[in-house]
Amino acid sequence: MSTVASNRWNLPDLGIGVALRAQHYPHILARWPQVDWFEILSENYMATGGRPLWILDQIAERYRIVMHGVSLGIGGTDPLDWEFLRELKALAARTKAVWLGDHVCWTGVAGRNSHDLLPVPYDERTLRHLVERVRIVQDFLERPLVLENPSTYLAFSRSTLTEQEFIRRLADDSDCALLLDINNVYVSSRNHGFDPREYLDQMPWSRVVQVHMAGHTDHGTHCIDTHMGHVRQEVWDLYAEAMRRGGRKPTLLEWDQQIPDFETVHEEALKALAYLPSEGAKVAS
Amino acid sequence: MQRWMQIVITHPRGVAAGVGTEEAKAEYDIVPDELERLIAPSGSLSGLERISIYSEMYTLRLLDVLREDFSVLLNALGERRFEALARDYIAAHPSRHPNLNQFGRHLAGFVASRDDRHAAFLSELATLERAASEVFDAERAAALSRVELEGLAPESWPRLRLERVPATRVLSFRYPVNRYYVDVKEGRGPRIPKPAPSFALVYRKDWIVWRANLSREQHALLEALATGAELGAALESLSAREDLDLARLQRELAGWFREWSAEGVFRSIG
Repeated sequence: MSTVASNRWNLPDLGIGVALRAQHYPHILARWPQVDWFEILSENYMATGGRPLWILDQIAERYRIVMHGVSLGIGGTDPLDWEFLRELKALAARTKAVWLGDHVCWTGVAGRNSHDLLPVPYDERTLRHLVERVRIVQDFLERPLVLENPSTYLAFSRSTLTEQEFIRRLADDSDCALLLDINNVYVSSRNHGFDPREYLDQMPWSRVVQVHMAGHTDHGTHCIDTHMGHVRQEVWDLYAEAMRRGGRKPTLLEWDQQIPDFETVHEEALKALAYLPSEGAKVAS
Repeated sequence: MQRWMQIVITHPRGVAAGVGTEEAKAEYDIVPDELERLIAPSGSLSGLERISIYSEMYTLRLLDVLREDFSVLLNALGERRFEALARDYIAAHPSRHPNLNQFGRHLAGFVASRDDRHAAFLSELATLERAASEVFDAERAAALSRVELEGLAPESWPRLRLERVPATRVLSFRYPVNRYYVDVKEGRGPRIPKPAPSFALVYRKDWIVWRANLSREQHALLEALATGAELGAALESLSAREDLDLARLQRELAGWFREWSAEGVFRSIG
């Protein structure tokens, strides 16, 4: 599937995709399953010249690839890592990535990397900082950066904006694209006590080029975005709400812990088809 | 804010200990009870509990990486001692690279510096496991084939410069590290061995990483070639080595090169 989607860059509707993981390489290389597209974790194919890159080259010859990273640190206060950005751009050219992105977060400071998606305070000063960095990165990459709303487990006392206000203004002011992770909206709504439907009401839908779905772990007092297990029904319900508001969006399933066989993951992803509105349905912008 | 948060979530004894460090106080001079000046509580968790989620995930994530990359060292130490080592390593060598495959690169040196009667052996074991990770990720390069090697004119051999492909490591140990590694992988539950020199070649063929034992003579020759010397000069440099069986070296040399070229150890010539 590859039709034109309702976003301001006319990026295509890729259909239903699956996050590419090493456990599934043998199945994919042996069967070449019918999958609309794959999303790769960018860093897994950087600083390596080994087997993962060789496999990725073969997969990129047959499928559409989207790149999704975790180490850009767009919200960080260290200078931008130009070596990292050059490698990212080269990988995007190599895989003919349809788009590439990362998260609204920081990952480390003073040269360190926590390998986590750490939250930023939602205030005017942080917003200005991110807008400037997103513009610089987009100029370098020569394409819109696709930024994902993170799942967060804390809130800063100094925040003056809601997450959805922050992300909407970040996208408008920097002219970046958005990846809306529905599971993250749900997880953060539980952790911070906001209404996830009000969050969706404020999404600038013409900037949303992709949606993520995943499982999470509910600890009662809080939820963790573990990417483990099936997508919970309440998250599918929220996905249906999102599709009603924003129209059909390329949708991808992430499954990163206790990863089952490829067919189980793909079947879980394809459940999204039941919630998609018909093409041409009227949507918000 | 970011410096402060990084200090407290990466502190080895947890957030409350991190908040109390001089380094953290230089950013925000607060005590744990005042944490909610920075981190808002939720309906069910305090500010301390909320930020501690990041602290716990940070350590567990890096522990998992070390467990996976150093599974034989883990077997040698046992879970409790390995975790203590790994926690100290995480504190001493925080990750500085976007790719987690780089995280364990200082572990062998770190183990060697520990006050442990088996530190020398354990460090060599970590060196072998790290070499396997490096070979896995090394750049691909066209290898000299056996056919290509056998097609070389005999008179050209002394002037031959043979460079190894990036996906190889030649290692020298004071302990029989590779034998121990194999015994663990094959479930034999070996004891920590006594010192006995050993040599190994770690290489990649068809994208799979292999470990081969080397004789002292094979190791000496590969090391001599790694200096960039021509084959004739490399052999000449070994002629004064009393620890080598030079007759064996001369006798088996051609067979070694056939074997190494079949495994894709050297770069293609020209």
